[in-house]
Amino acid sequence: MNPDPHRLPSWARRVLEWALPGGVRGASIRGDLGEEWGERPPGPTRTTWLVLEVIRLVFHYRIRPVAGGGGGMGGGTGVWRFALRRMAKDPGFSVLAILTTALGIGATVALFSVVQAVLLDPLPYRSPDDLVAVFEAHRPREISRNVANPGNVAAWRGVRALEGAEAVVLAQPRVVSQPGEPREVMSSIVTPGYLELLGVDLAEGTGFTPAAGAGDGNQVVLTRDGWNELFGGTPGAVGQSVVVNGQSARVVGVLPPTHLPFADGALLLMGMPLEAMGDQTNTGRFLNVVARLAPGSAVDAARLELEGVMAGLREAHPDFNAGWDVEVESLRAVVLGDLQAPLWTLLAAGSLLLLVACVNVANLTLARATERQAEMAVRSALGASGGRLAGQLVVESLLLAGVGGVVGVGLAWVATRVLTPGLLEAFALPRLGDVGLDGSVLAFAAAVTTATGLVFGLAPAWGAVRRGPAETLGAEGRGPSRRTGRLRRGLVVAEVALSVMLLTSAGLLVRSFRTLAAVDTGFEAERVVTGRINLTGERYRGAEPDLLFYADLETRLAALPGVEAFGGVSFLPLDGLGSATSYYPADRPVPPRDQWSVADIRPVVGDYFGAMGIERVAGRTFEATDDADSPRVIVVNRSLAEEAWPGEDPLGRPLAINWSDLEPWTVVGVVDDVVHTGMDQAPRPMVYHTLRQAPYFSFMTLALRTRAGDVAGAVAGLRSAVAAIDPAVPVTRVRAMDDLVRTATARPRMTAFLVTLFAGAAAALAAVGLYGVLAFAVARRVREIGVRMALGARATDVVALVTGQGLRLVALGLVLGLGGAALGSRVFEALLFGITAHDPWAFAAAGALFAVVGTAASVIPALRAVRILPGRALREE
Amino acid sequence: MSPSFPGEFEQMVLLAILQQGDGAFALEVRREIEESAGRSVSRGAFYTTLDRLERKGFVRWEERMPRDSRRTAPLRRFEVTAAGLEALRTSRQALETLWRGLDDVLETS
Repeated sequence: MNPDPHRLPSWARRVLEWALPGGVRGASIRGDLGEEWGERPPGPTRTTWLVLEVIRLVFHYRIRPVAGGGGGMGGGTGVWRFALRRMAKDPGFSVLAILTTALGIGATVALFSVVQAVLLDPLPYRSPDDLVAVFEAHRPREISRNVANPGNVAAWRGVRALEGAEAVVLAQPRVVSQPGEPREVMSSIVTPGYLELLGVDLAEGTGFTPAAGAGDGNQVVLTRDGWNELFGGTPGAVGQSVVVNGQSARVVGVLPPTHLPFADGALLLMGMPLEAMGDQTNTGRFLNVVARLAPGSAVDAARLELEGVMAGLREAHPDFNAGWDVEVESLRAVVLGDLQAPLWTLLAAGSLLLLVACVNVANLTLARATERQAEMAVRSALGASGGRLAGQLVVESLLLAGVGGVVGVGLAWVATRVLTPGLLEAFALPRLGDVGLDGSVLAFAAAVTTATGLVFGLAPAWGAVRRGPAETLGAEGRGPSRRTGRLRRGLVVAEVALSVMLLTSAGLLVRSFRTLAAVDTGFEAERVVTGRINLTGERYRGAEPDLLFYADLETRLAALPGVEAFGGVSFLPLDGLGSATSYYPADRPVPPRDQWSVADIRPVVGDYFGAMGIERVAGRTFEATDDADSPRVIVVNRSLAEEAWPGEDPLGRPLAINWSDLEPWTVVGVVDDVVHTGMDQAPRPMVYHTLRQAPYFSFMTLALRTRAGDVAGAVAGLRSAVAAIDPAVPVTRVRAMDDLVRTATARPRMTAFLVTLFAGAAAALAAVGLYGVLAFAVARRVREIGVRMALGARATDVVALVTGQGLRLVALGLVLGLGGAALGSRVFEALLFGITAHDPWAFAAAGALFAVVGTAASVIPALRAVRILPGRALREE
Repeated sequence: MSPSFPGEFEQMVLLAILQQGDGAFALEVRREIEESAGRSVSRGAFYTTLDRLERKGFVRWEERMPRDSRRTAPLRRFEVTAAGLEALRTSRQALETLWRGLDDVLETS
């Protein structure tokens, strides 16, 4: 429980301290509000209530007195009622202003709610700033953020700057056969102290014992999703047993919904002590390490100490550790890493749109203020001070902004709900569960709304203060003062410049996305459907049953008419996971350990290359005769061939691979490079071998190339073929290869899409603003134009006159906007792929697009001007 | 100061303070008005009215320690002054005079 339930949230206290009178008076009002706050049940309703109360107090104590409350206008709520009446009197203007504001506020608030939940809130762990991630790194090979060896991690634990270090193995599919039907469930192995180190409290159960997975028997902790999946979310899961990959384990805890570093997607955590995971002599690197800094220790101190330990480990295990070092980073940087740039960019784009909206409404308000000059002049002559009139205008703006803000928050609410699934998929956001319009988001919305109202209200208010009644009354009939006209034109130029900046950003992101999407993946995704098979349990002990299974499956699938080719691989391209090891060409002198190169390694079954459409460059691929009794052969990709034997024929060459042994394999074929880790990553050297010659993978991802793109038929055929061999084997993660490629480009697509959306909206607003200014200028010059035409001016002259006026504004805005974009685009250079931040095409496209839009917005009022008949123009006098 | 009649809302505030007696803290006074008048009272308008009544000399207040030990902000306890009582009385008399003889008219409507 909160020790002081009457304590208002800090933002409210701060706002009220500013807004309310000083001394006991203000303090007691705050106290009263706090008491009512404390009496209400916590939740979003209470927060909304508080936000509204605070806004009302701010209006009451800060804005109303400035706007001229008390006497005159009827005082109190009178000034607001008057503003409301004005709003209702001019519904067209009001609706336009409200929608424009709502658009900007909605976009900004929706994105702020995402940024706040993902980037601003602290990570949901105890003292999250003390948490670091420790990696191994191999600088000579340019490998960073590498997983670590358990023996090395055990040595790191002794470091004084660390309070503790725990390890996680990335989630992998395992078959759970109890409770319920056998099925594949993503699970992570963690050291028993992992949850305690993070400070994550369990919803149920006591958690791992220190010897979980060893002396204390197998233990699992379920995540909230795992609890739902395995126990249907019913109580009493703790103490039950589950069977994972044929081994029984006891449930010792259920987690609340939360994010766990390095265990994304895991439904269950399996405890295993570090000591039971092996060491430098018998296993490789596969651990992600989360550590907590000891009180008072800094990241640098930990790094220094760990580097010392690692130097010792290099000496103790030269074969294994040569060239390897440590890397220490804050956990926050690792977890949020590449999310920062796109999310901040989106928020910035949303804010630019809001700015354009503000400028647009300011412009509308100015135009209307001009129409209201007579009213202002009369009121001024009757004794209303300039301040009072300005106050009235500010109140009107605030009212418009307020309504716009409410509508905008509604839009943002819808947007967060509609966009959440897309964002979740595109960004793989670690903590999107928390995104919502909570108190601080609403406070942000209120602040943005107030600022918006002030921004677009101040310009006309300033005009009202500066003009005396005589000036205004004297000027009546001849339209706005020169000053107002200049101000409006300036605002239009600002609008054009801001939207050109947004358009340029959108252009850069779209170009970058298209470059990325056009990357040659090295395979043909069309018509390929994939699904995963995991052969576990008694029946598949040893290698033979697996090989028989796949041989049988291949025969059965070959008989299907719709299947053109079939194959399988341990890890599909672009699917996130992979395995790699070091190698050296065995026909050369053996290089020192720390100079071995690194290659990805994949076992395949069937005609994997045919099914995926990976092109054979030289030699052959695997044949049925390549089995356990024949010579060991491998197929390598082009990158590996070029790296190992530059400029030479790789066929028939021996390659030593640091996998189970160092006996050389013979290269029999070369295939094209395939992007594996990401569309924006260069292909890496790759070794393929057939499962028949090294059968140590229990799971395979199957790929079927269908003949006519009949995906449903192929999936049904695959399922029934697998069921005919062994009904207990599930086919999981059935996906079209197309979808995997789409997912791999989802983030840049989403970013480009949203920024384009904002840019389009901003450009439309700017065009409306430009049109408004020109139309107004034409209306003001009706008489002049009429006289000119009566005296024989041709229509083209008039069009040129008006259009020219518009184009001058467009040109100025274009120059400023493109210049601003050139300065600002560096900010999101990290988001661009294949193009620079000064990509001429993006700049040219944005400039050309707005030139067209701006010309259209200028020509229309010009054409209307021509239609003014001399007679009508003169009659208007 | 000429006999200034308190406005309707001012009268309600004064009466609510009297109703609350010793416990006329701002929060309770506002609740009393909301309950008996059956309408919500704007927080800002309420405190401003209290300030105005104080300026007119109709109420005075003193700072009190919070009853609830968890509340740290000060409380204000209000009291109607003699001038306030006098204003209420005058206002009531004026109204009663005006009401006289109108019972039939008003009850049928």
